[in-house]
Amino acid sequence: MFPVVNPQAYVYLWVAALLAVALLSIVLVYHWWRYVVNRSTVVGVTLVYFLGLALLITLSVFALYGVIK
Amino acid sequence: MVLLNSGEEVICRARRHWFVIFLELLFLLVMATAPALLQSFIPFLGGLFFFAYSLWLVAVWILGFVAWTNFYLDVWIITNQRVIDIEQKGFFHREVASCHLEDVQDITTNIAGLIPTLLNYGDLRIQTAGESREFLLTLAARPDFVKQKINEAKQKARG
Repeated sequence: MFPVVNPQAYVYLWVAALLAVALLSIVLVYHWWRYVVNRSTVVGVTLVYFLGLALLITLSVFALYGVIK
Repeated sequence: MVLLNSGEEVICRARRHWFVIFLELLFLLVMATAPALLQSFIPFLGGLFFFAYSLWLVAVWILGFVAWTNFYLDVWIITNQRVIDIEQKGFFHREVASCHLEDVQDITTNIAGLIPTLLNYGDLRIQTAGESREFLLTLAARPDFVKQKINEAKQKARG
């Protein structure tokens, strides 16, 4: 079903996705800290966002390992 | 963040109703779970599927927060001097318009439909005499309450 490609390509894809995530995260966090007045809301949202992101990125690392091993 | 004039106090903030963001997040939840359902119907998808799915989940997670950001930063701030309309049209596109309370000519609310009536949300429209002729907040929470607050503030401003 999927094309057979060099496993290294998946690592490159993962790194590219991670870079995009980092860029979007910077944009999001910038907006929250600049425009949201309520500081506790900002801190709460930032924490939830990065905790979820860390969890999902960890999941993707395991999934990537499953592909390239 | 909006800079207020000296002596200016915030009376209330008006946003779109929580049901709006709830629907958007519900849609994203469906988008997040759809590939997992697909996997249960097409069992021959292997480890590559989980890799793609994990990246998909990251994308959906970020989209959820993008939706929340657009929801939260779209706001009307009613102060004792003016109505400030902040419209977040996407990243790096933010419109801020304001009109003094004495320029407010007409306030219209429009609650149409079963769910808006039950949850009390609808459109809120202000006709102004200023340069920004019309302010519109669609799917606003408690539009009648906001209208009342603006009218009260207007009467107080008149003295």
